[in-house]
Amino acid sequence: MIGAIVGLGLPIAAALLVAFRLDPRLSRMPLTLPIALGLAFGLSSAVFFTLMLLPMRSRLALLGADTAVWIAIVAVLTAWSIRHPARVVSTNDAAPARSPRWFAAIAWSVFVVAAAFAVTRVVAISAVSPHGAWDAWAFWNAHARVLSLGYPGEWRSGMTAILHRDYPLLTPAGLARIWQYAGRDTIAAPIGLAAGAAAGIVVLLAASIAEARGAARGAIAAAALLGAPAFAAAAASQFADVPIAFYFLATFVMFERALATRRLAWWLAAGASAGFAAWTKNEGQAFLLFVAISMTIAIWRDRARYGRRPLAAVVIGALPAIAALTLFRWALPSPHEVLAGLSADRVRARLHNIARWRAIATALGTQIWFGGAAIAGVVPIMTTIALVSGVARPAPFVVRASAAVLGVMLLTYALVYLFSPYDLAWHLGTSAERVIVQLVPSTLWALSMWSRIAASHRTA
Amino acid sequence: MTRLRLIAAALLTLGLLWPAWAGEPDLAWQLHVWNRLKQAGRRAPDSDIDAANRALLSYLPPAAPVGFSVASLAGRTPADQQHLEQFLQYSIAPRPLVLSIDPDFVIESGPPAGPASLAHDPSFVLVVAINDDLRLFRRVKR
Repeated sequence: MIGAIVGLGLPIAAALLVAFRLDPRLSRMPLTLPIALGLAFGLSSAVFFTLMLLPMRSRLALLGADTAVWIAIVAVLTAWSIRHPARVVSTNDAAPARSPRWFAAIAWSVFVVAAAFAVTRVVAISAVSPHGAWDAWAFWNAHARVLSLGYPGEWRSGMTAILHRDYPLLTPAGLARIWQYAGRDTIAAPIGLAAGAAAGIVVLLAASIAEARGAARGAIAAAALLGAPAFAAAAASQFADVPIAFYFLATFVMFERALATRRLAWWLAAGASAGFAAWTKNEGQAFLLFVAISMTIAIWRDRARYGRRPLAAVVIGALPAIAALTLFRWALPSPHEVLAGLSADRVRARLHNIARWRAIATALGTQIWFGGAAIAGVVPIMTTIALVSGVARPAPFVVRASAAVLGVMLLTYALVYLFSPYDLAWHLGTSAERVIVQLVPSTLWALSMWSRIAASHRTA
Repeated sequence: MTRLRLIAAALLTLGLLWPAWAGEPDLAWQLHVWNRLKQAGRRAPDSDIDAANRALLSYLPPAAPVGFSVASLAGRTPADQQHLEQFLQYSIAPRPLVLSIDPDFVIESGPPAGPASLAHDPSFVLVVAINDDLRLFRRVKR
């Protein structure tokens, strides 16, 4: 019990301090707290895995070192908060227009129904399949068990027996850390992590859109996400696609805040979030690259205003995750499933394989359009809502940047399927829905941010 | 926003309930299974399988690879077989599970009367039978 309090309490304390640094107003907690908790979990995973590589001989020594690191992190954040009290920064953002009451009532009603439906579904699936779906127990939770139960002796050899050992370890190492503190590998931890990541996405999406485009718009965006059947299924299945979707969305939200407020803390946190996406899944490494390019362009085009410090903040923020990922590749080297064995001949042949391109485009397009629904999924409906409501012309830079990153991510997924060594029908059938789930929250966010707002002045 | 646009947006917002409803058949099925489990006073099937598999842990060495053998494939698809093997690996982690009878300890699945069962092999001795489908053997001579 004491272990669980220390193991969870210190990162939560750090998260609260970070949340207040990002914005000291309690009213902004729905925006800042999910971000801070997500970053704290990512950092807890990166620190724990790094400590596992040190030559320590017992679980107690590992937990002692981990506790010491987190006490130091909390102490530094506390000292920083005392010396440099957080302040509210004035921005030139336009305040959101207030929606009519009847419109807000419809938006909130749809949100409540969709939320009740999604929560019931997640609870029911978790009760019937508490170990998650195949991917969860076959590798994400299996990796976590190897790291936790195999420490200090057998975890390296144990990792070689589990499928997909080239997959990064944010969720497995984070779970292993919780299990080590708890003293047993309780199944409540992966269920809680999956549900927490899904809830964090919904709250962050709603809060970010509510702040920028009004509460009713925030409710609609959250209702759309909760109404996506594939999202609730992925959360209940304990797929790592939900935590990575959280880091994708959090990066875009913080990118927007960084541009609006010009505060280094937002750039730092955005870099950290993109880094943790890379530490969650291999797709996150492509995301880190593309979002770093878009951030560099944003900073460069307004360099007189920003200077070079934001870029340094992004890099520093991403460092813990990049360090953990580098150590993971060094300590447990394994070939990349798709890139290993890729020859120039195969690349040429696949690039000219029109039938393969068509099959991939059909599968991904189907998932984007339907997303587990029958006639039309939430993405086409939300696109229509945005167009009907009226959109900003030109679209805000962050919307164009996020759309570009999401588009290039989609192309990256298509290329992975194109060069995949696996049977294409099997590969698409087992993963296309999940990879689109990664992009749906950020897509809904970008669509909602694209909508037009009335101009006035607000603080952030 | 004009009133007409607002009404259209409100109608489309109501339309978001349509994709949400697409998850209803799955929800109904999950609730049905959950109720049946509660009525029978049973845990989730995966939890039962995991508990049965983990009952083997106290008989296994902490680090050495563990063999896996199937006494009979009758009534099982390749997907069933893969599920069985990978779930067993999940349960006995961090011990590596290898599809071989070379290791000193071998977990066998399938009916003990099956033609390929290690029960008929004099170089193995039964350590424990967890249930009708899961047994652990130890090699007695090389």
